[in-house]
Amino acid sequence: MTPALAVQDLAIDFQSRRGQVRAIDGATLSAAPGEVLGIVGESGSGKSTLGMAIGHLLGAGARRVSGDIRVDGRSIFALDEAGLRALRADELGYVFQDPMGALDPTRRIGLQIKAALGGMATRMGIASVLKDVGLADADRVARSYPHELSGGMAQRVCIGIAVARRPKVVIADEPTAALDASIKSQILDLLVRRCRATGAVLILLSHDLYAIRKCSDRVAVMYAGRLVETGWTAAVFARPAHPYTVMLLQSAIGRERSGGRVEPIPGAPPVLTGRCQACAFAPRCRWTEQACTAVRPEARCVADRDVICHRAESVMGAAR
Amino acid sequence: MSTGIRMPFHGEALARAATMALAMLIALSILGLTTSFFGSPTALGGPPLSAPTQGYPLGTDQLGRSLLPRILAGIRVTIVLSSFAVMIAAMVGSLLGILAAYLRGIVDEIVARLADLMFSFPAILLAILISAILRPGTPSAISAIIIVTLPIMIRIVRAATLAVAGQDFVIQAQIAGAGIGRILALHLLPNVAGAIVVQAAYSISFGMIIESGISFLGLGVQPPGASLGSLLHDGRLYLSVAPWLVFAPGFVLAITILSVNLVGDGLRRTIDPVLE
Amino acid sequence: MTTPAVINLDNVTKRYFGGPPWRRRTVTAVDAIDVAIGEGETLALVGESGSGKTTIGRLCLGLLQPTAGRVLLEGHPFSAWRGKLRGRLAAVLQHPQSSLNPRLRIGTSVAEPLVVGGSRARDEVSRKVIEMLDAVGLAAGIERRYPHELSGGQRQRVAIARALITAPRLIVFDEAVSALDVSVQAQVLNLIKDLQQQVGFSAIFITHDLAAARYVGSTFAVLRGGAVVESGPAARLYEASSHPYTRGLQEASGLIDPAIVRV
Repeated sequence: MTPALAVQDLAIDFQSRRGQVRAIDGATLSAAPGEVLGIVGESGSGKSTLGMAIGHLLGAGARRVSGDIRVDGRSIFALDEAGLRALRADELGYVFQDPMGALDPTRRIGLQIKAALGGMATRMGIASVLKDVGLADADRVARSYPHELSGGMAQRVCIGIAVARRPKVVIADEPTAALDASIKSQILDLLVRRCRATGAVLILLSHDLYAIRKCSDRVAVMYAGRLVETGWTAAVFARPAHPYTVMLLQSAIGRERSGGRVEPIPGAPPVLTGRCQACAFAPRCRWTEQACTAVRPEARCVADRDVICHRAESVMGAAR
Repeated sequence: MSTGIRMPFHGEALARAATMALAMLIALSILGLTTSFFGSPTALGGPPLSAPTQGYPLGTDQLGRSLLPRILAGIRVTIVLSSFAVMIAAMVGSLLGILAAYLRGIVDEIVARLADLMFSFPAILLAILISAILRPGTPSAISAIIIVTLPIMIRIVRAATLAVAGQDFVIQAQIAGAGIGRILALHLLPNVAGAIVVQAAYSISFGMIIESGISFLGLGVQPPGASLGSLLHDGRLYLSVAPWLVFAPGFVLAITILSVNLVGDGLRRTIDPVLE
Repeated sequence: MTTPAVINLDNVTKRYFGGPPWRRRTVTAVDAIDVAIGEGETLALVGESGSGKTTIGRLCLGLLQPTAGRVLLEGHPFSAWRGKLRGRLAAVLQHPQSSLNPRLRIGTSVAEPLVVGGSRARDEVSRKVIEMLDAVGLAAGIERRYPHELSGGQRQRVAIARALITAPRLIVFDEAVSALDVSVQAQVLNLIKDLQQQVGFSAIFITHDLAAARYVGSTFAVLRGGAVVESGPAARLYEASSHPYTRGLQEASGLIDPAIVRV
């Protein structure tokens, strides 16, 4: 079966006045139709760049150095302007962190949904989009402007717009970061439900480990522009195979016992200017050995997941 | 975010060219002032209304004065007058704008309405009105430019300050107990200086247009002083017999205004590249 | 109360009035709150947006005046302290990117509370600045850099150094780690805990993140709609609360999820 989304050894550089920065350094992943894939990463990992790259939405300073992105088997880099517009309209959906920023402040909600549906929508069609995302008072919401809605309601609207054309892939970049704790889980559940109902793959980008753990079927951990560990969520969280995953889980507050102390990861993530010729995590890693600073590790299958690490077996064995 | 202006504008061919053109014009006019290489702007005695020849590279006017040194003097007057006026308007306007944005409340209301009032008059008409009320001359040209530039400065600086005044480091200064003077001088002004400089550049070019317009009508710089605009005023009667008297100053004026505008564009891109 | 509280909110209410005179709207941000913070104590103030937690922080810093009730420092109302309040209160705010004046060097920003407070001796001030930057774990020479050269975590440490420099009685941390990465949050929280043991200030830690609240707090208070719904020792948050609202927050953050292994 063709994966709904396939990223193959993608490398992307950014050119700026200060020089070149490698944001993505050989990322590979694939997502089967209907699954929820969580991508965990901190600032500088490249996860937002990856999310935008899928829709060919990166600005002028970005340059694809190598690799490919295929949506439903077709490469996005082979498309012309019209093809890209069709891709973004029909096959991709985006949900961003700030719902107010994602909606047009000068147009009523109903009109924005209508535009998302391709301009041929009926009032019933618009109302059903709103009802599907839990906004029962559809007529009133359709008549409102974005600033008249709460953050949670606005995000529901954004979710409705994202799945309106039944896209193949929905990319959600920190969709609940700006929302209150009590509605975070509601909104996430809604997002997952709507994606499953429309058969879309949900790529969930987040630094919220608990949210990823709850919602995603599989998880990919991103560090320094590469997906260092990919596998089934429960398994990865229970027995991580990559040192960064181990140390990330241990450095997160929330899992400690009362009175316990959490040790952060020493050092800081690297800023790459080109292809990393060894392991990018080696300077901060507890398991570093000779090969880690000399040889660039490649993805390999260890137990039930894909890891980019020379010492994955030892790491898996050691972790609780 | 830059910590200063880097000259010459990196990768900005047009702004670079404009800066060099402007520098050249200023250098020539300074030379015209300090040496007599180009001739004297006030010496009478040459053949009146003669076309460009040896000794009179740009011809002469109706009183036999060589045009070239007069144009060089004119460049000086045009630039200096406008810059001086804009500098005053910038100082007053920035102070009012910053105070309005920081103090809000009634101070903001008064300043904003004042600026709106001044802003509602078409600039050139207002300038002509002022020059006609005051005695025609350099001071009235300067006053006109100041009054026209003030509301724009107030608005721009007020808007820029609003963006800065709510930031955490200003709140921190308040928590530390800093007085309003310190907050204005150390925290607000340096962070809106970029906007002030960019607007000043544009205002100088607009000021030159205003001054030239007023002087062309005879209400601005008076003889024997000469600005590029007043040279146009002087030469307009002889357009059919000595067209160089109008075209030469006019051309130099256009280049000067254009250069200042392009320098302003370059400054804006360097200082505030976000809007690209 | 055996030891006198450092900060006291005595029946404090804060209301905002808005709208035109014929249609006045009143928003009650804080409703008759009584809070006391003792010596060396960290009160974790937990709440969602609109709960009033930020308003309480501002009241404790003297940036806002209460509509009713009094705010007391060491038993005396703020109004009685007048100018001498400065230097005894400090804050670390949420946004690392706007907490430092981009035009000033780090050293100048950190020195500001001292300079404003009247310290003139240049050498003395420099010495203290370097001492503070060292105490928060930043490398020597950073006082000459500019904010844009630093990461978010480093900027928050600078903010902490600035907050400490006048040896304040109370530091208000308002969402101080919310904008930081997961692995950096623990760094900054550990720093706050360690410094408090060494230096001995009292703190209010305002957050929407329960995990951070229970990690760094000695006591906690959950706010909702301007009122306290539950309070007590912070360690209590490691167990499921009996109060439904608190429990709801715990569950939403996964803090009492049995499936997660506690390390």
